[in-house]
Amino acid sequence: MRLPGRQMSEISFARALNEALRDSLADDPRVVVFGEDVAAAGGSFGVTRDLQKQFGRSRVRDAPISEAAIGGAAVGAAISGLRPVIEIMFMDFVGFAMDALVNQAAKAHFMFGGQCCVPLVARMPHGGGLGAGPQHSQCLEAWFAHVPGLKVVCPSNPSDGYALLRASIADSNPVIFVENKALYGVRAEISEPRPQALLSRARVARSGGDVTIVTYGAMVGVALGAADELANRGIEVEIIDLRTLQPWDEGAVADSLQRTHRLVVFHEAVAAFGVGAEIVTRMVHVAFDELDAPPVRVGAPFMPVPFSPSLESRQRPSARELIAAVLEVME
Amino acid sequence: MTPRTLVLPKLGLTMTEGTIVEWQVGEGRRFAAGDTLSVIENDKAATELVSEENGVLDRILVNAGESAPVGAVLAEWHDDGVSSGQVSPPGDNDPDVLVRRNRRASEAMAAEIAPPRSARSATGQGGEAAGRLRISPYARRLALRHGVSPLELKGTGPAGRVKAADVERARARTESLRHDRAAGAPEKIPLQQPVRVMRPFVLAADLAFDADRRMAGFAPGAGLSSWILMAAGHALGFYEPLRRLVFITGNARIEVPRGACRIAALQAALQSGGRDAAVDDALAVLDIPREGIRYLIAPPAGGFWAQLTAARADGNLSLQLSADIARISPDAASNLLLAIKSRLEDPCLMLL
Repeated sequence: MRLPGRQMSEISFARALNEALRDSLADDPRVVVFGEDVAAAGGSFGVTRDLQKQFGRSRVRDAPISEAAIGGAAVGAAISGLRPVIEIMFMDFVGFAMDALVNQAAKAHFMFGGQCCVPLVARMPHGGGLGAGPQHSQCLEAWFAHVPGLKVVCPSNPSDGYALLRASIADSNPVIFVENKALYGVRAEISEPRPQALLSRARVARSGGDVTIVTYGAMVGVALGAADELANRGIEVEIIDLRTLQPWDEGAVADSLQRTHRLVVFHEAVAAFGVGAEIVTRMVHVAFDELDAPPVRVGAPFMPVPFSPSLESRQRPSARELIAAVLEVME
Repeated sequence: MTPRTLVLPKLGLTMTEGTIVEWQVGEGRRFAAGDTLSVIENDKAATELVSEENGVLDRILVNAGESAPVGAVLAEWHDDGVSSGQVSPPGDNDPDVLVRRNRRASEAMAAEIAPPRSARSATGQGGEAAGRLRISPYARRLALRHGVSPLELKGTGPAGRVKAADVERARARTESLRHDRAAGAPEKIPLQQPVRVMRPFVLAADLAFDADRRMAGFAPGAGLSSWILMAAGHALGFYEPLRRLVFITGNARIEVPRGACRIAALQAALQSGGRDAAVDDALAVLDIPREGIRYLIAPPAGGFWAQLTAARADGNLSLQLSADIARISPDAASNLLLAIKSRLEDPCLMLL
């Protein structure tokens, strides 16, 4: 469908993020980009390609191989007036930057009486399915969602990738921007002029009256596939794409439950102590009288991601487990 | 001889397809572990594909110069050894199998935390187990809203849990029965159906007599029966085990709209209301007896689902609610009685 004055074009997720960085750099002289291999090499997944050529070495620069230095520099730059966007090559490496993000970025606004804010964005890819092994495939977003003072964003498609990255850079709080590696090559239509979005607003990716599936990131696509198969069995699921995990859109989920009365939370991260646990707990509390079946969460088993592709494909939550969970709550 | 396939390996994190540059082993040729079979090129580098086993190349499916996605079968070959292929157990990919497996696991856990099935009441209906009703929160709310007694429901969910669908089914049954009656169709009573014995229970609540005085300020000129009707009618709008209100005075049964909590509306209803209201779904309010006389009736009279009586005694007003346990749970009944009591004590609640 083409709306008048609104053109559509098809680009990849990585390209959409690249454009969001380019447009933010162009619009706001305070925005700077740095990280490992982001300048000359254009980023390990090509997200920062050509940015240094366009904006120069002072605004887009390579960092030494030290996540601690990258995180610390970002906090300092943000407090002193810049809007840094850093790239952590793999989310698995963010442990080295945890002090800067958790103890400094998240706390500064509260510890100094609101006199400063820390408007940084830390981009980091998560997710498996690429045979990248246990140290390059983890989904650790729950770590950050547990820290007051941090926002956590995880888009599911190129259009949201563009809009949410721009909103994250414009936000005055530290934002952990999580990109699923499996999405980088995914192409989809995106509107021209480019879309805008607010943080903390979920999106109904598919409407249905039988079961609410709450998910985010690359699992939205998996859920949409499962929805088609469930529709063949006569079950219509509603898929809520959270988009922002912290603070998340409780109202959208509770609203959907008033129609479906059944809840399944689906994410690639390990199920134990995860995002799904939080969502289920909140819904059991605020929407208890809406529930017609015990809520179920579907996530990875409590194991590291295996290297072997055949083992990894069994470990990674799939449409199969999601369908089984939906059938379970429909019993 | 075991037929085997050679697939295009993933040679880098971002590799999705590759091009066969050349085949170094031709169809029908023997090769040994360590031999280079072909050269594959992706967007980063060209790589030799080295065999890990001995075998014979039967057929090439992707020729030199052609591209294929990662995982595509490039060629078929065979070895002379023993098959090492792992075959998935049948149905392992079937979601239904997974559901059954999950159910077995949760039933095993339920057995651990609950007494075994044989130890439970054998007579319990539907979701009733060991005195506890298994019912989903939403189904409980629906049952309350539609005045369906959960004890009458047959639970079809896991472990006999009552689901919303069970309540809707029971409600549809009641509705169609009511519809038949309204349409004048003779009620069909199948042979050998056991006569339903009413299982009544009675709840009582006492109010200080000055409640009376407050009602007089709220609706001057009305009698105590009218005040009780107004309070009951308003309370029914919030607690919904029952949906209709019938006033019994003399030989008349007068249907009172439950919204009639203004004195003018009530008086109009009492004058124009039908004289022979149906009993289902209804709370009957008996006219106040003469001073010094109290009703001591346990079962709701005339087949009503519940009945409210009141009497003045010792400067207090005493309310009694009797109800059929098959229709209304004691919980719902006590909520209703408390709601009526609080409205008599504080008539301003009826302005809400």
